Order: sequence, then C-alpha cells, then structure tokens
Amino acid sequence: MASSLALKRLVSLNILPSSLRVLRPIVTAPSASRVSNTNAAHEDEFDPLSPTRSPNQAVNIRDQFMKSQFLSASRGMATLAKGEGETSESKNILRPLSPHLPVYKPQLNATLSITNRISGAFLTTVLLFSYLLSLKMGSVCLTYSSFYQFFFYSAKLFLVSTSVSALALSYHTYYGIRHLLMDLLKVGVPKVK
Amino acid sequence: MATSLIRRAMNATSRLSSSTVNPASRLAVIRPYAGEADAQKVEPKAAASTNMKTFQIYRWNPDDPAKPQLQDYKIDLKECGPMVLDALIKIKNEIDPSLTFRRSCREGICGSCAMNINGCNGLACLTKIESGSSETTITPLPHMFVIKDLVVDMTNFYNQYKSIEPWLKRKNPPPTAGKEIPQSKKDRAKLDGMYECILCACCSTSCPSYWWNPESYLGPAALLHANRWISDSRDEYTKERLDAVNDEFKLYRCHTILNCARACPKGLNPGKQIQHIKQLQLTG
Repeated sequence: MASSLALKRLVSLNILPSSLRVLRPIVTAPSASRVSNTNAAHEDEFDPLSPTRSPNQAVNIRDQFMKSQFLSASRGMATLAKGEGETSESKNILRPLSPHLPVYKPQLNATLSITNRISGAFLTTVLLFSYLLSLKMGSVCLTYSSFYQFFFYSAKLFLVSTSVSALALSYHTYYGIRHLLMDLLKVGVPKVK
Repeated sequence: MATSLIRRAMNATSRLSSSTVNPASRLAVIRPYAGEADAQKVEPKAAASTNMKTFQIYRWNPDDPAKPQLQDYKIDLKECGPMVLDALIKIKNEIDPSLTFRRSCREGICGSCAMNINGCNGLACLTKIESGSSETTITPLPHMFVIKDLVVDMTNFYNQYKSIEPWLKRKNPPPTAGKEIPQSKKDRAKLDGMYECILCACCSTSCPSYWWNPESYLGPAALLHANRWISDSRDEYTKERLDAVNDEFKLYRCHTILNCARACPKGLNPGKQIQHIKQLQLTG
C-alpha cells in the first residue's frame, strides 16, 4: 500500500506514466525530449520516428498506459484540461473521501452485526483477562495500597459487569445460531426491499 | 411580443380618446389576459401555493480545493418532478449550474446516478423526494474518492469487476458447432436475480466491510457477478472461478452484514449470492 502510494507520487511528478517510459528504452533522443515535454501523450504511441510495432504491442502499450492512468487517477491526479498546446502540469491534489459512517443511515441488520462483533470482542477480553485479574492479583496488591482501594470500591460493579457479560454472551450466542440457520437452512434471511 | 403590440394599440386608442395620458385610464384598459405588469410582480418565496423543500448537497471543487461542504438549496416541489434526479436537474438549471453529478437514462437502468440520499444508497432517478418539510441530504457514494461534487472515482470498482473475468469461458467447443450453446429453462432460471445487476455500486459502497478493505475485498457487486458466472451452466471454468475467489480477503471479508441487499435499487440480494459461493466453496 505504501509502495503503491510512492509510485503514485512518482507518477504524478511526471506527466507520462512510468510504464510507457519503461517500454521505450531504445527511443532516440529527439523523441525522448518530446516525451518528457508534452502533455498530450497519446500521439507518442503512433510516433513515426519510433520503430514500427506490431498491432498487439501497440494495444498492449495502450492498455498498460490506461491501467497506470487508473492507478494514478484513484486519488491525486486532478489534471487540467488536456488538448492545450502548451505544457500544463497536473495538480497533485488529494481528493477527499466521501463520508461513510457519519452519513450512512443505521440499519437493523448492520446494527445487529456490529453488536455481535462488539459483544464478541467484549467477551474475549473478559474471558482472557479475568484469569489475569484473579490469579495475578495476589502478587500485585501486596505492594500498592491504592490497588486495594480500587478493588474495594469497584467490587460493587461486579454484579453489573456480570449482567453485562451475560447479556453479551447470550446475544452473541443467539446471533451465532441465527447465522448458522441462515447459512445451512436459509431460515431468517432478511427480506429485500 | 403580441401582447405588447396589442397593449400599445390599446394605449394609442385610449390616448386618442382622452387628451391627456392618464395612468388611471391605462389601468382601466380591458385585459382578457394577464399583462406584462402582472408578470413582473416578484413571486413571494413561500406563499400558500408553493411547497419549498431544502436539499443539502455535498459540494467539493477540485479547482478550488477546500474542505467539502454541504450546501443548501431550496426548491419548490410543486414545480419539480417527483424524483431526486428531477430536483438535482432543476437546481442545476435554475439555481447553481456548477452542481456536478452523473446521470443518463433517468429511468433506473443505467446506474449512473447512484448516490447517497438521506443516508441510504440508491439511484436518484428512482428515489422519490420525501414529502414533508424535512431536509434531504445528498452525498456521494460512501467511502469513495470524490472527483467533484457528487461524482466519485469508480475505477477500483470496475477493476474488481474485470478481475472476476465476467465472460463465458469454455474448454470444449459448443455441442453443435456454429450454433448457440443450449441451456434449459431451469438452468437459465438460476441466473435470475444476478443478470439484472446494472453495476451502479450502491451495494458495494454500502458495505462497511468494503469501506475498510476496498482494495482487497471484492465487494458485493463483483461477487454477485462472480456467482452469475459460477452458476451459469454453459460456463466450464467453475472450479477455477471458485478457486480464484477462495481467498481470505476477496470473499471472506463478507460477514453477512447485508447492507447490500437493503441498498440495491433493483431489488437484488448480493448477500444471498455470496452465501451461495461460500456454500459451493465448502461442498465443491
């Protein structure tokens, strides 16, 4: 991902994509300077000065050009209008990402799914770290007095936290059963609008 | 033009009849039609006969890059068609010509006008404007790079569609050479619910899993088309197609969130097709 970003930056510095330049290592000096100067890159494929290519090669070059154009087009390259005679550089503006979470209407099935994930994460932490709490506590609280205080006052929360984890466990289990039923027996699939 | 001629004629006759030009007499001229003076009266903004609605539309200009904004537009619903696309076109024609959006068929078959309307993805030409005075919020398809205003960059989406090789692939020539490959009605019915996809990208851009992994997860639309070719009885590369998708990211980022089925403007269910692929991976 980072390497592709670096490639995009590199591509944005020059007008022609690097693939097109790589494909023309034997290009002679005058056409090479034309390649780096002009922005209208399409004419260069049918350059009369370059050695003649088979139609397959020409199509291949065009496809690679289009592909790398897509690579660079995905974020930054807001190019000014082509077709002007003089050189026009491409502004490397970062395009914004359209809003997703702040904007999307919360839906029943998506909410159930994310609650399943949250309950799963909660249960994982509770199950894996409760052993740490109960077994390792002895070695810690002999040293810190504030630790004692914390556990004394938070002991009232035990009932609440067990209720919460029971809720999470039951929800996670029900969702898992519903998932199984949906996958194997096609029962309970939400209706399409 | 005719009205002004008639008015000038009537004024000339009234001037001939009365010696002095009297504004009262001009007003008393008989008018069977609404004259120019009436037409120049400024219409009040929200009278009893108008039904104003506010549209909040996402704006961002690459030529003047600043933070994207939501801009308010008020239009009269009585002078506008019923669909959101009608409102957008009216805004572009009358209020702000710089509003940019994609559109083509205006009937829900091309998939160009896909955008997020009031929090749900859909086609603007098929989404009715909600009656009532609440504001309508229009933003582009979620979690896509914005080219301008409501136009997003779909190249990643199209490349994913291309990557599943959406064409018929056979190892053997057709049974009767030179003629079409026969397919029974039952086999053709297996493709119902998949061939209608118009690649509008409403489903893929509604999937939170696609938001967090846009480049590695194929998305509901591409997977629906993958299933369309996997289920096609004429296609002989079924095993290879299943193996191509059998990847932790390409297929299994789907956690059956099923936002895609809610978002599809054509009423398709990509989630069901993805479940079908997963089942085939288990059995076949």
